[in-house]
Amino acid sequence: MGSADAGENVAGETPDLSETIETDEVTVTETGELERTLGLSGGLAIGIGTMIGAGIFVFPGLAGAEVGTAATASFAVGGVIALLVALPTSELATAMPKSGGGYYFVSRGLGTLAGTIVGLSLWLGLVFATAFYLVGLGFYALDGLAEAGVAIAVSEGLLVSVLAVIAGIGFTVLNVTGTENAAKLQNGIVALLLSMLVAFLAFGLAESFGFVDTGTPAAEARDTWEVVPIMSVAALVFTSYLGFAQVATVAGEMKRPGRNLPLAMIGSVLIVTTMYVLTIFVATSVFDRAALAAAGETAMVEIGRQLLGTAGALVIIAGGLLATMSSANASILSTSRAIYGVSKDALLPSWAARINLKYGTPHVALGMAGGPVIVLAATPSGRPARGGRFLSPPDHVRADLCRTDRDPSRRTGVVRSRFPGSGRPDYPRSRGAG
Amino acid sequence: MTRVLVPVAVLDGETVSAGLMELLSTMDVTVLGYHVLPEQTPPDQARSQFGDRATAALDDLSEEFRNAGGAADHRLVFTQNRDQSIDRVAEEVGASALGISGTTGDVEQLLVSLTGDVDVGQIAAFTVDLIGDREIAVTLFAAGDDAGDGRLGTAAETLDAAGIETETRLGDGPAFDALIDAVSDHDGIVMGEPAASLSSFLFGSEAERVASASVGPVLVVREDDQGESSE
Repeated sequence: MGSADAGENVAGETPDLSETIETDEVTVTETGELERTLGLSGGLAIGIGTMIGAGIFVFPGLAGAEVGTAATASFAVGGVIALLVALPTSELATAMPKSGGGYYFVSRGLGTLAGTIVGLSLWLGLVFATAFYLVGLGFYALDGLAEAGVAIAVSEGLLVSVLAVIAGIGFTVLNVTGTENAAKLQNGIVALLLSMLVAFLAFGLAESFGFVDTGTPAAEARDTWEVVPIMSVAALVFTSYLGFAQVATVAGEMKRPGRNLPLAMIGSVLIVTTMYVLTIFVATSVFDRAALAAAGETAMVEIGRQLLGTAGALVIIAGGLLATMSSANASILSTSRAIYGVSKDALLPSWAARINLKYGTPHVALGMAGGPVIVLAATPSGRPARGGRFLSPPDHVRADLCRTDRDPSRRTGVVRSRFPGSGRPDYPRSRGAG
Repeated sequence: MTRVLVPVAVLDGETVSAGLMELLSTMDVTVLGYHVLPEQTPPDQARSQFGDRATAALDDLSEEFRNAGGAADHRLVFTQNRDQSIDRVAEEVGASALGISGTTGDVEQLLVSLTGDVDVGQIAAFTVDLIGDREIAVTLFAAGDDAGDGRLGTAAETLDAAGIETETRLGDGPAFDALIDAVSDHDGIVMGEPAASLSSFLFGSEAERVASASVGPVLVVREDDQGESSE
């Protein structure tokens, strides 16, 4: 592991291991200072934005069809587990507040081989996940067209692929050209989405408790309040909580990382859990299991229609578009950070991290994120994207692997930096000594 | 000694005019090389690619400042927020003022603007330190509602006591336009740090607009937040 210092790749490039001093405002390196500019709201937007697109409008239908209102418990269980993962992850990120996230922890904790595997699978996993979001975006756009009464002459699958590819190219170009305010756009999308959701859920809750009556059919199929089905649905919906760890990929740019990183990770998990639980509650109050099963993945659109008519359906479709957009955009950004982390350690050629002179962006890394995404999105079925979730080592595995470090001297490194903000993290330094 | 921070977008080919170097020969100078990055780019990535080149440029610049007279060092920062970085470094090095480079050569006529909610005593003291024993004439300027409260007289006394050739001038009409009018027959400007306003949000900071209207260097005297000495 320590041999990384002497290692070089086929091009003779060695890892860039300059010593750094971290403060709340800046990272001081030998050649310059790196300003920390991202606040708590920016971190929350990345965490929430990445998570919420994954399942808020897809899983309620699927999970509700399995166990009915008991799916609220499944989402709550998923949230608690995500929280248990978020705690050690935020601790690691606080100890090593560097851009690169999961890759950085694993390569420093378990060595170069594990780091390489995780770094590359992080890249692939994010690529698949982004393609999944884009295909979801295509489906929402399709629903939107249908709702607007536009007749579709070509096959659905083709149109979805075309829309997904256009969106993928759009996001990649947006990021490569270094469009200003893309992060503000991200914050805006998340804020708009949250306020739409809150309004929708408030109305849905009022309906569920009988303050408003829109004539929803009385439930006939019974809810399944049993441990095993609830847990198995929790396992299904847990994937919709992955994403908070992406906050760690911008750890190097976050102000007061000792405070803001844990707050952003844990806060985004709590907010998203609340949203999910309320959404599933509204969904299962409006429709029973049989109706949810019949409506399938787009059940939420039907629920919106049931509650508020066509306007309700449009709100859900617009929300779905926003949610998938924010997730896709956040993932493309995270991917290029992950590629940079790997390239910095000379595990990828240094040109992978080169910065475009005209736009000041890492165009190769962004292209390595966007290119495969577009290819995947173009595959006719669009379904392979689903598998991406399994290619990416789940974040809890990554985070916890670090904690089972076998070398005692390294372990003390983690323990010493247990306390967020207790001083500058010295853990990464121990790598050279080991 | 009084310290001035000179921010330079070092990788965008920005440099420092001979006029500013000459004007600051009585001061300690910290050259702050900065490079603004889009949020798509981790600052560390830019550092590893551009750090050496930027450092070489900053070494040259601070060498030129030393040759002009004062002590000079440099800092290099990669940032996604220029103003935040400038504020932080100015605070850390205890800079009394920020320098914005113009294009002119020697400064013989210095315009000192006292308009706005600024610390008149602090600006006057800075001007005295800046000029030292050089033959630079000063025009004290105020416009708008601020002109009537005797601040010109107070500052003029300070400068006269230091043996600096001083005249005072009152501007008419809107304060900012009057300042721009007065800039034309001077080749350097000292001004306060006006509080952020809507127009500074829309059009950039007042200092930047003055700098773009002037060919000479602009020195912006920083507010002393806690009333402690910023030296």
